[in-house]
Amino acid sequence: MTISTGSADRVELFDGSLFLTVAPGPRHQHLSFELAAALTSAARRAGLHVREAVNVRLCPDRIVIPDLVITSDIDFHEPVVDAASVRLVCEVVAPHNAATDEVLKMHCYAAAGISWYLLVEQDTGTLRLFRLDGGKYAEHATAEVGQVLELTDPVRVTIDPRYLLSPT
Amino acid sequence: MNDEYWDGTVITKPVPTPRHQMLVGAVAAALKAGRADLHVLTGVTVELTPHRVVVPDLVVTGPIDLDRPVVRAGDVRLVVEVVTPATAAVDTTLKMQGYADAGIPWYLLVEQDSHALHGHCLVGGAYVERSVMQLQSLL
Repeated sequence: MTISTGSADRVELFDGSLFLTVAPGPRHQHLSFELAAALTSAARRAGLHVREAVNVRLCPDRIVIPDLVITSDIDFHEPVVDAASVRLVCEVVAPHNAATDEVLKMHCYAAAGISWYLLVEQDTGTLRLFRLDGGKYAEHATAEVGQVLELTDPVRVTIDPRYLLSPT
Repeated sequence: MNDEYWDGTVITKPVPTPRHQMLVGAVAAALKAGRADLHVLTGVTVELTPHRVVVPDLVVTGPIDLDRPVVRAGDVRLVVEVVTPATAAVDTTLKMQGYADAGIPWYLLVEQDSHALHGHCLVGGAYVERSVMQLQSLL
């Protein structure tokens, strides 16, 4: 079967349905890049990898493209990363499409057993960290601009939301 | 086309299986039995918001213009999705919240494998499960 994805940049699979989304805008990408930069050396010290926008297989019928993941050692030749290698998953949330990240992906990442889920609000830089507890995510810590998020697992780092926001 | 639009994402759903369609047909027949004043429609396009346009498995509407290609959420009394345990995530999380946000008073989830019907009623902006029954009891 051939599927035309038109101008869609990100193609994700949820239980047989394809989700086609256009490429994210510069505000979104600025934040994603700055967050990756903030995490990279701490991840390296912990023997982990920070990757932006890679394919992650949650189960055979669910393949998603999180904005950012921290993984254990992976095979860099494999086009799809298995969820078992993902230690933390992060989504940059834009106000116009928050439901997919806060509802559908929240459910699916938990079902795949990913221990940590970090949501970053694109417009305010607010960080919300969720920890997997009994198969569901529970809010573990939050930080708005003016506060910092102390991450201890899977990497030890302090994130200041101020430095994630784009200049305009 | 079976494509849906959700906050800037295009959702392309798989073509349904014969078993799925058989169940949709059975539920439609059961719902049509009682009320001649309501429309029971399968595969129609429903506008939840300008940014959310979906094609539920089945909807029951009040009086509508049957030639207008898109049904307004405000005219939908009941929305039905047939789900399998392995594929329920979109219907039980994203769609459930979206239908509630759109103010659709009833959401019926039909389990394809067990034929269980879960009736959800909108209470204070969220769905609350009000009934569980077997499809056979409707037929």
